[in-house]
Amino acid sequence: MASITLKNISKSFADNQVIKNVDLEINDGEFVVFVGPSGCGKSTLLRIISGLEDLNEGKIFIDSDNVTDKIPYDRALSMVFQSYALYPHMNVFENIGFSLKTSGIKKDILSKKVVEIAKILRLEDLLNRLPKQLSGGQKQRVAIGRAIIREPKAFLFDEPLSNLDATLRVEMRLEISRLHKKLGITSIYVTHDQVEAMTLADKIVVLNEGQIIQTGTPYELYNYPKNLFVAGFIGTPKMNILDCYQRGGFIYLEGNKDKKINIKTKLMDVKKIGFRSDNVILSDPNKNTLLGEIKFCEYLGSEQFVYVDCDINDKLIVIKISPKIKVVLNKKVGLKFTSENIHFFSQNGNRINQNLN
Amino acid sequence: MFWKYGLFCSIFAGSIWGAFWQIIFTMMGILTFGIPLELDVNQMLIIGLVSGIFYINFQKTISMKIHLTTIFTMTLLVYVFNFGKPYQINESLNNINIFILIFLTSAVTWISINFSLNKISIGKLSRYDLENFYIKLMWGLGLIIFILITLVPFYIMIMTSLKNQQSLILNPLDFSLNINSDFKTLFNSYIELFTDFNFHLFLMNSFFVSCVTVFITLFFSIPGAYALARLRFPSKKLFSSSVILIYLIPSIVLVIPLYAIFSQIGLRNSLLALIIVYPATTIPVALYMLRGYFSSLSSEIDDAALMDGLSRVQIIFKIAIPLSKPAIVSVGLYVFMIAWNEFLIAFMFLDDPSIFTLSRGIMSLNSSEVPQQHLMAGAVIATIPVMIIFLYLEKFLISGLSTGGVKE
Repeated sequence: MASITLKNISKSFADNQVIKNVDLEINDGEFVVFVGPSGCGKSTLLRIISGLEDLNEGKIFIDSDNVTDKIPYDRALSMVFQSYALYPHMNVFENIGFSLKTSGIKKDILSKKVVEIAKILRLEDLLNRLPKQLSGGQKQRVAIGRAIIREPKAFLFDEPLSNLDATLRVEMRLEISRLHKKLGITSIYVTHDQVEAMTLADKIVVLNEGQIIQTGTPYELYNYPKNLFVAGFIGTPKMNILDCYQRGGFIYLEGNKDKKINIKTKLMDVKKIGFRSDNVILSDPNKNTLLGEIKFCEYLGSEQFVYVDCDINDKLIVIKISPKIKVVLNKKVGLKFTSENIHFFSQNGNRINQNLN
Repeated sequence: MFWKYGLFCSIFAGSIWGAFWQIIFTMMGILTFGIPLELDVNQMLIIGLVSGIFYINFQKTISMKIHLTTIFTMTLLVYVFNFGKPYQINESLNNINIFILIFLTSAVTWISINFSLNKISIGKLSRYDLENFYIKLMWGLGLIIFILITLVPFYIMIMTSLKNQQSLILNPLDFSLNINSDFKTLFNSYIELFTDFNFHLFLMNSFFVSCVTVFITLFFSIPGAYALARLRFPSKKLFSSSVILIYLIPSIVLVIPLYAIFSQIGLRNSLLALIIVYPATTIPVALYMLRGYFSSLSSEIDDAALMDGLSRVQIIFKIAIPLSKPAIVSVGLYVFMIAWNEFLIAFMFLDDPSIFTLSRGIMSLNSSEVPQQHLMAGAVIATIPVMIIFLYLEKFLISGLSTGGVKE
């Protein structure tokens, strides 16, 4: 178990700078998730921490050791890969025990440890199978077993669940969470799936174009997004973001025909307004509401989302409603905003409401 | 269109098979009996055509008895009414042999018709049946022609090598064997090659050179290919694409300067020269083939091995080589065959008969003093080992070439 510190990390492939001056502190035992759109450099950052990728600038510390120039094995981290990366010519037992075998441990200790790990991951009956005889979930459990057995200072997960189907993904997500609770080892987890990020993380690091955009707990990121990027990235369905301007303290939405809404603020220079699907209440149309027409409806069982066209630059506003309401398409409705949890953004996309801290 | 009808298919297949087998069996008759037979296709063509129509009309009711009756009817039609005309040119071929030839021709033609027209109805055919029919017909014809092209020269080679000088001069076309002669006279050429012509040495030399070439090639090309597939280094792209350029230069162009250089450094008349030159020509291709295979393997496996504490060299031995066994075996086999069959450089470089390789040794037999059956025996000796190795490792070769080629 260890803390990991990144200091001013930069990395380029040829002329393309993929990581730009990243500073990050990961505490002992923390579960940190790197999240961001594809190509944002999150996997590269993980590979830099693992030592599989060298860096152009900056330093990496594990606890207080500078490991910047150390080879992957000496950093004592272990990694779980997206493609599982099991050794196809070795059976489950050999796969799990491989790293200990290369370190020259005694045979009886090795097999005892492998069996112990197999028990934790419910793989006891599969020890003699080859990877090709395993299902996707079993393969990923073997990969996790291979990572655990070394008793590493930290786990690195590189999109470990994206090759699994939806049900298995949820199951394995729980398993990883359970394992982290049990072992308490520092973990870094890379994903592009923000649901995985929200459910697993103690701390989420949102990356875009090689830079850290925001770091925080899932709660902070959801409720206090630092800018438009984080606001749009975290949360399903996406946050509604609309262009606006202020007059006399009131917010006017910019559109084909500008519309005043029932929100007032003392903040200056509000150019964009963001609100989640549950911060709007659907009501009958009256003069205090924003008028719109229901265009689409997504029924999910426990909840349903309606997409309302309010004639604002062809943008649809997503609203969460109770699944019991019978939705009639093309029906005229009124939108009423709750005053809390409205996010205001300035021209350059930064949040201007007061932050949590 | 008329070719979409089963009737046309039956006429087409029947006449083609009849004529085809007539040609083949005339050729076989010539090769076995050593008598020049005249080719007469017409009879079998017409009989094949008729039996094709017969088959397509009655295929559902044909029993084993009718099969046999048809074959005999076909045979008798040719044999009785024309008195064996297709094979009846030379009086020295007796009637029983003619009958057997005609019978075989008829039987094989009938079987082929059965094979081609199976489940084809007489009327207009569906697209699936039609495609199936033509593909099956072409496939069958192609396969048989290909087998014959491969086997006939081999057959002639073996038969000639087993003959003695006298019978060879008497009738070079006669490939029949005198089965009554004892082992020693039959294999006389082989025995003489090994006793008087040092072929045991040639065999050993060839084997030695080929094995060393395979070893050296793999020794350099496996790490090289791994590096090209996995590591990032400057000018990698240039290097990996220029490696194959050596094949733009024909070896006849290379052999003259090489001859001059090796003469000057005194390596010319030695096996070492071949051991230097052969890998130089095989490594690029080996590198190219193996690189393709290595890059088809997931690089995350290598990353996992790095995390598990292996060095790159250990990864090559413990991960890359075990995973690419088929590719390595096929590359090794390919290199072995190139080295074993190589002639030009061996011919230019080697003067001393004690270090001849097989191909060079066979060349040395090609003179007026050495009987021709010795040459053939030498060729058989050179072919057999490669054939055995190839047949044994063939399954690796096919899977290796395909897996390496598909994913790049």
